[in-house]
Amino acid sequence: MVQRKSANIPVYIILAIAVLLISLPLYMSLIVAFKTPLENMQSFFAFPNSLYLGNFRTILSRQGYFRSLFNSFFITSLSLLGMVLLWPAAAYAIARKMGENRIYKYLYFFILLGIFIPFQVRMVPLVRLANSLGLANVNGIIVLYIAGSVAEAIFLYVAYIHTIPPDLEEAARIDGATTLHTYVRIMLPLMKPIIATVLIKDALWIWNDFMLALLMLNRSINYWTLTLFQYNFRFQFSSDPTLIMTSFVLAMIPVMVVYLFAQKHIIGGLMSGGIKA
Amino acid sequence: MKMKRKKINLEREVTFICFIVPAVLLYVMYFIVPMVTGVFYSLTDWTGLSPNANFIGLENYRNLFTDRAFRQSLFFNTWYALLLVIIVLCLSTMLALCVNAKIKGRTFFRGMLFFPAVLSMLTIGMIFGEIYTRAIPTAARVLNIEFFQISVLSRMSTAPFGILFVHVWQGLAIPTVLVLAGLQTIPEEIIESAELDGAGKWKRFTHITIPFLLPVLSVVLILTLRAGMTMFDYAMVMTEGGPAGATRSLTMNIYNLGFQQLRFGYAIAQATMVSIILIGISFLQITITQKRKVY
Repeated sequence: MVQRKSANIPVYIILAIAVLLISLPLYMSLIVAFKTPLENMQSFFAFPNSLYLGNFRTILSRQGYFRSLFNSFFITSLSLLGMVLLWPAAAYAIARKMGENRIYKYLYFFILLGIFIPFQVRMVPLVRLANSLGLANVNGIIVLYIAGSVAEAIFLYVAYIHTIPPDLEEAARIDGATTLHTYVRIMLPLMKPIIATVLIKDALWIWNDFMLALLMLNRSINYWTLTLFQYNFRFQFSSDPTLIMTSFVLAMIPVMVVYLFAQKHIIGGLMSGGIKA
Repeated sequence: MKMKRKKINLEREVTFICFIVPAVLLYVMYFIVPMVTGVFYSLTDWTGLSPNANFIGLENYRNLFTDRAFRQSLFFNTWYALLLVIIVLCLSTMLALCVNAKIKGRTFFRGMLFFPAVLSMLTIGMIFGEIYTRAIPTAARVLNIEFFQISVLSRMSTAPFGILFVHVWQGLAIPTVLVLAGLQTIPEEIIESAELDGAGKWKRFTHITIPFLLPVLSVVLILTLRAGMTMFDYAMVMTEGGPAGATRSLTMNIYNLGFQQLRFGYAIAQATMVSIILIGISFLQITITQKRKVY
């Protein structure tokens, strides 16, 4: 028993260093955000003398922040909603018809190709196409995010459905249930773990995405997401580090709050579906 | 009886077709059309603005080989990605082993280690940008350390490492969780019996842990290699590719060519080249992992 404990000391040391390295930049952005510019000039590392809220007030009084927060929230949630409605169903059809019908099999491999085509090769023409389809706005980027998630989602869902025996569905069909009914009542509940995995991955991607947002939404302040808000804000106030750090803190707060409460589910969700794939 | 069966089947067919139509439409719009038009435009001198483009064959691809900026980006990005892969593979395995051990506060440590993954690369890049350019030089002046008095990001020799550090800081989170999931698939009996047989810690690690982790590690390898080869956000907000192109990644190069210099055709040719490299790597990985399954 005693030996066990001493064997763990290097583990604690490594983890302590890791935690220190992870929290240091976050801690620094927090303390800088609560300082006046003058205080910050005197020392970057010192703890603030008082809780100065002027930086927060300055940013929150600009309309950009709440507008971007709303946009990020709106875009992320509607994209996820679209993904839940569309992709498990499509994967279900493909997974169950692959054996019977060649077209579905080819379709599966055709869609899988998308995983291997990097974004960069499509980036330039995609922006042109999206512009001409009128998708360079908040509603349009939702369509693009949903479309962008299709290949990976189908890949993960189909792999998961293949591990579920079709007995239950066949029993339901013999009982006269429609396919839609079978899907909603039997298949969807069984797919919950993998749906959680895919949605968590996609949520992190969309909420934090910079590239597609920069390409599609940087034309109007009304379209900005939180990432664009920070990016543009930094250019405007590049001379005032306390304000900039405050904008980063404000951008991180929503994620931090969600993470604080859902941490276990996020890590567990990623792990459970991740192994099976 | 036969009539009824046909009717049910028809209902099933129609439902399934309805299920896949949105997938096909959006997939073609987002993946196929841009790719096909992209490859077509890479054979022209299109600027992206003018309505007409001249067909110039493989000229854009030939120019790649003499383009010094492209070569510089390719060189920087390749060794950057390789270093990233090596560091991430080693450190994520080490950290996963740590949070898999029976220690106090395991949940807390797991939560902390994964936290960087939920933040945006942009925010992290900009925070570290501030730290590199303002905090560290001020501290170095106080402590009189000459090396750090100038920002790490403003020197050609150190800027890539400045970005690499940030990438490791954030890029470790997901691999650590993946490796942790891999560690939990190792049956405890095997480890226990090895322990009874007198296998030391190192032996157990190389003979049991590593072979069990290989599938996960190959996934981590491919994910990290891709992340390294397509790095964009960090360089964009920390150095804008500078100083003197020392941190200009391939993706930044494509972005600049396509959207700033308006050389669409050439930008896509470059992107196609990068894609071929990436697809090659993915393909290699798939064949390697599939070979493993045979054993």
